[in-house]
Amino acid sequence: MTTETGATGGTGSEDLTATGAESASKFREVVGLLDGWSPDPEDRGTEVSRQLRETLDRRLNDAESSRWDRDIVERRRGALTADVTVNGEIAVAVLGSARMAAVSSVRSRLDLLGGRYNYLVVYWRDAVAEDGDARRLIERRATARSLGVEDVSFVGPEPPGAAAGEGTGWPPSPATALVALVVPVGLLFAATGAARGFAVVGRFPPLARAFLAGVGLLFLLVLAFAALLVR
Amino acid sequence: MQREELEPGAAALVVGPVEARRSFCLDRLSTADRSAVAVLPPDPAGVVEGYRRAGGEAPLTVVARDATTDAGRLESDDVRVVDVDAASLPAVGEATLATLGADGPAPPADRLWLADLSGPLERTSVQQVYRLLYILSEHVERVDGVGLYGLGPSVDGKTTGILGQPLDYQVTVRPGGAPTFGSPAGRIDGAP
Repeated sequence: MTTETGATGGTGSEDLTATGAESASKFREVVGLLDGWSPDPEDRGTEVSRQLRETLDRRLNDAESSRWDRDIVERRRGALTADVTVNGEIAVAVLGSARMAAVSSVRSRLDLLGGRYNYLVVYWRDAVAEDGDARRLIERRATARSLGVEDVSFVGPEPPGAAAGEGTGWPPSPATALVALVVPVGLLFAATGAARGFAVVGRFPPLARAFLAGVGLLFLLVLAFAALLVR
Repeated sequence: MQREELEPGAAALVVGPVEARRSFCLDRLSTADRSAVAVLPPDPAGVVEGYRRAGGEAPLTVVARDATTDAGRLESDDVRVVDVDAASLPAVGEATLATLGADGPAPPADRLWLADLSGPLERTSVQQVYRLLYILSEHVERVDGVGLYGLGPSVDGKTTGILGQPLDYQVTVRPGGAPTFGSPAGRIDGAP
């Protein structure tokens, strides 16, 4: 075996009513534990994953747990695998930099892990200001559905600057401000045009009005369908 | 070179249709030196008969679901039946571990066959079944035995990969064909 694990012990045999909900609950517990964890800043690579394994093992298990209740926390080796797994099903990946240039390699690793485990926790180790955009891009795209997992969660310290302004939508960027100004003006013109159009159509014979109403409805249906496809 | 047998201390996920798995595992079970244990076989009587037919001479313990067991009829000098509540994996695990220990009524088992993981997977969770395999394979390795864990071919690849992680091999069996030995799909950290 090439994994390091917490020792199993005890002799209890309590019956457990386990379902998928138990797995999901364990995933949330791991996410909660990692949320308040930070490795020694001096540590890198294997030191971090060793520290992570020890921390999770200690916090998930207590000395009185029977061997059937203990969570199996293992450190995995290899660049393309998880750093630590919990009960074989929950993968924890420790990621350092999230620069834009690394987005596709991070995504590849997450796809790989998604193909092997049911739950995925990504721990952002380095909180560098330049990482903010890349992190958001990765987190937005790496959904549980796109990765093929039951659930995925990103934890770790926020990059400096992310809390103030970023993510709250205020102050808006120049492009957002321009769109916010143009859209109401456009809507005003459209409403005026529509009112004039209705006035003109109102003078048409009934058959022509019915024809135009039908064409209008068809147009709206096509628009709705296109919107559905875009979503 | 293609592997054809499992070395002492090895644990394998045996994937394939029921009959092919049963035949492969009974053949390995029958090579026990000290004793053998079959866990949750669907037909304990058939397993006892198959074990003898395959040439098994060491004592055999059958850990069986109480509903399927006719213990009085099956038990003999060298066949022992242990009833367990199959819905409780800790109970199944403890009953199995007892057969691997030195202080049981039979010599410690050196061949273990857990007939089908599909049932436990339906009744419990992937994490609990993983825990069972992890603990059992650890003990099998410690006693230099061979552990065989059956899984149906319809179980999805990701679950098969997850369950294979604590094991050494994945053996794929098919009716009338030679078994294929490989690394478990989920084992990517230094497979044998």
